[in-house]
Amino acid sequence: MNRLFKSTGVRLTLLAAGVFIAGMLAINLLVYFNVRDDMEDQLRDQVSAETRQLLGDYRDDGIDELRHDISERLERNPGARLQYTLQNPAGVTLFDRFATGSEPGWSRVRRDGAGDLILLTTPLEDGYWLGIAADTRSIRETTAALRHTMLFVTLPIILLGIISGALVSRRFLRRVERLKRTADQVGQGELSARMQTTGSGDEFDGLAITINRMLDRIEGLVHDMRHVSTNIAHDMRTPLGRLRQRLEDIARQQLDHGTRTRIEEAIVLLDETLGTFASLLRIAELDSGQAALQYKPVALEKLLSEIVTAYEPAATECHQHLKLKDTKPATIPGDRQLLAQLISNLIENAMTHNGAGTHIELSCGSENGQPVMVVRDDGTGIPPNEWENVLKPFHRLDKSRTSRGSGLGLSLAASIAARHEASLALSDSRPGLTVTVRFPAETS
Amino acid sequence: MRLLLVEDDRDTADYIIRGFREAGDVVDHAADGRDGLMLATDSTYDALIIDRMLPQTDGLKLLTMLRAGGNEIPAIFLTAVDGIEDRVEGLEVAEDYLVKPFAFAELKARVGVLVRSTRSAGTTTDTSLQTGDLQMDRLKRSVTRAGKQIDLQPTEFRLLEYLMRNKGKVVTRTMLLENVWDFNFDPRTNIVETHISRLRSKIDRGADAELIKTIRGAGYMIDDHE
Repeated sequence: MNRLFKSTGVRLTLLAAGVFIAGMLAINLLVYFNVRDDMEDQLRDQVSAETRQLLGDYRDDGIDELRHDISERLERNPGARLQYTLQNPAGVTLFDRFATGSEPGWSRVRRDGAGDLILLTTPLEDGYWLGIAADTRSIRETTAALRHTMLFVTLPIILLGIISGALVSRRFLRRVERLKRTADQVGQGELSARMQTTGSGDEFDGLAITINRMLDRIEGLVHDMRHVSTNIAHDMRTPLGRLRQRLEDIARQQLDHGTRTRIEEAIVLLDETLGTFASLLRIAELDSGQAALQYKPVALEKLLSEIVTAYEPAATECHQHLKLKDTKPATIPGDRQLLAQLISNLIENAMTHNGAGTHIELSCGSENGQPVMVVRDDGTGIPPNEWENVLKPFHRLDKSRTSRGSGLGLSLAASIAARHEASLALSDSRPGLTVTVRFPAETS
Repeated sequence: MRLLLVEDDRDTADYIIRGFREAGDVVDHAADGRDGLMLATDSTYDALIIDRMLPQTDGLKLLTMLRAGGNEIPAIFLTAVDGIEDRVEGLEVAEDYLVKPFAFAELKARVGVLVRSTRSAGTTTDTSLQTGDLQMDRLKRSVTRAGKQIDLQPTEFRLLEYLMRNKGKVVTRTMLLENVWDFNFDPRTNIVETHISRLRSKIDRGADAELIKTIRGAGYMIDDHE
C-alpha cells in the first residue's frame, strides 16, 4: 500500500480526482442549502402576509370577523393551503387544531407521518392566540429530489474525476517514462539513443532538447576518446611494422650471440605491443558493429572440449588443473573463431592471474532456455567492486599489474559476448572467480 | 622458387624481396595491380604474394580476375587491415592470408607450404605418410615408429599429420594454430609448444634420430635428414 502511494502516478491521479470531487461536492452542498433556505423563506413570507391580513381584519372587526375569515379561507381552498388555529383563553383550539404554544413568534411543529409545520404564533386580546402555519412538505419533497439527483450525479462525477486524473497523470508519466527509458539506454552504453520531442514546445520538449544536447556532447566525447586509442593503434602499426622489418634485417646479419638474443627479445616485445594493438582494433571493430559476422551454428560443448584439450598441456605445465566439468549440448548461432577466442581469453585470464594448484573448470548447458557457458576457478578471485572495471580495456588490478597480459583479454571477451547478444557476468566462486556467459534464448 | 610480389609499399617490398633472394628464390615485383595482373598472366610462377590494398587494381580484384581467367597459381594475401570480414572475403579467393606486420619467416614458411602442396597435389589424399622410420596410416589412424605402435591423442595425430604432410618444410606456430586447432587468433599461452613437446616425447623417445626439429625463430619441421 505504502509503495502504491509512492507512485507519482497514483498520487497525481488521487490529487486531480480529489480536487475535482471536492469542488463538485462544494457546489452541490451550496445549491442544496440555498434551495432549501429560499423555499423556507418563501413559506415564511406567505405565513407573515396571511397573519398581517387576518390581524388587520381582527383589529377592525373583532374576533368574530376573524373566525369568519378563517372559515371562509378553509372552505375556499381545502387542498393546498395554510393551516390555521385559534386558541381561546381556556386552551381550546379551533380549526386545524394544533397547539399554538404560549410563545409568540416562529416555531416548528413536528408531526408524525407528515411534514413539519412552520408556525407563526401571534397573541390576540382577551387571552386568544392565533397560529398560522405552513406545511414544509413541498420543501421536503424538493430537497429529497435534489439529494437524490445529487447522489445520482456525484458517483459518476467521482468516477469521472478518477478517470480524468488517471488520464492526466498517465500522459504526464508516459513522457517521464520515455525520458527514463532513453536515459537507461544511454546508461547501458547505447550512446546514440535520444529523447523524443513532440514538437509542442512544452516543458517536456524543452527538457528533452536540453538532455539531447548533453547526450550529443557525451557521445562526441566518448567517440573521440575511443577513436584516439584506435587511431593510435591503427596509425602505429605501419611504423612499428617497419621497425620490426629493420630489426629482422639486423638479426639476419652476422652477429655475436648476445646481440642477436637482445634483438630477438626486442622483436618479441614489439610483437606483444602489436598484439595489444590488434586486440584493441578488434574490440573497436566488434563494438562499432561494422563487421557483418556470418553466424553458423556452434556446438558449445564441442568447442569447449576442443579448447580445453588445446590448453590442457600448458595448464599442466603451470601445475594448474584445467578440465571440463559438466557439459550438456548447447548450440548457438555464432562466429566460431570469435567464440574460441572468448573461451581462450577466459582460460588464459584464469591461468595468468592464479598460481599453481588452481583448478579451472569449464561447463556449458542451458538455463531457462538460454545457452550458458561457465568458466570457474578456485584462485584468488576479484573483489566484487572490481567486477565491472576489469571488463574495461586496460583496467588491471593492482596485484596483477606485474603479471603478464595486455589488460585486454576480458574486454575482448566481453565485446565478443556483446556481439553475440550474450551477457558476460563475473561472480564469486568462494574462493575464486566465476565467469558466466549467457546467450539469448533460441527463438526458433 | 619463382615468385611474384605485388606490393606498393617500397619498404615492405624490399624487405620481402631481400628475404627470398637470400634464400635463393627468384622474385618479380609489381608496384600496382595493373602491372601485377600483366606479369601474372605473362609468366609462370610458383606462388603469388599480393597486397590487399593496391593502387589501380586492388589485390582482391586482381586475384579474382586471374582466377576467372583460369589461373590457379597459389596466392597469399598480405593485408594491413585485420578485419573479420576482410579475412573471410580474402580467403574466398586466396589460399592464405597474412596480416601485416609479420615475421619474414612466417611468410616464407607459408609460401613454402603453398607451393609444395600444389606441386604434389596428391599428398593430402594419400592414405599413408612416411618420414624415416615413422609411418602414419591415415585410414586406420595408426602411427608406428620402427614398426612399434604409438598411441596418439586426436590432437597429436592431427599435429603429426600436418607436420608429415609438409615434411622437410618449416611450419610456424600460427600455421599450426590455424590448421590443427582452427584458431586464427594468437593465444598468449604456449599451446603449440606444449603439444609439440608431448608429441615429441611419444615419437622421438628412445628412437635413434630426432624427427621433429625446432627451427629457431621460425617454427617446426619434421625431417628424416640429420
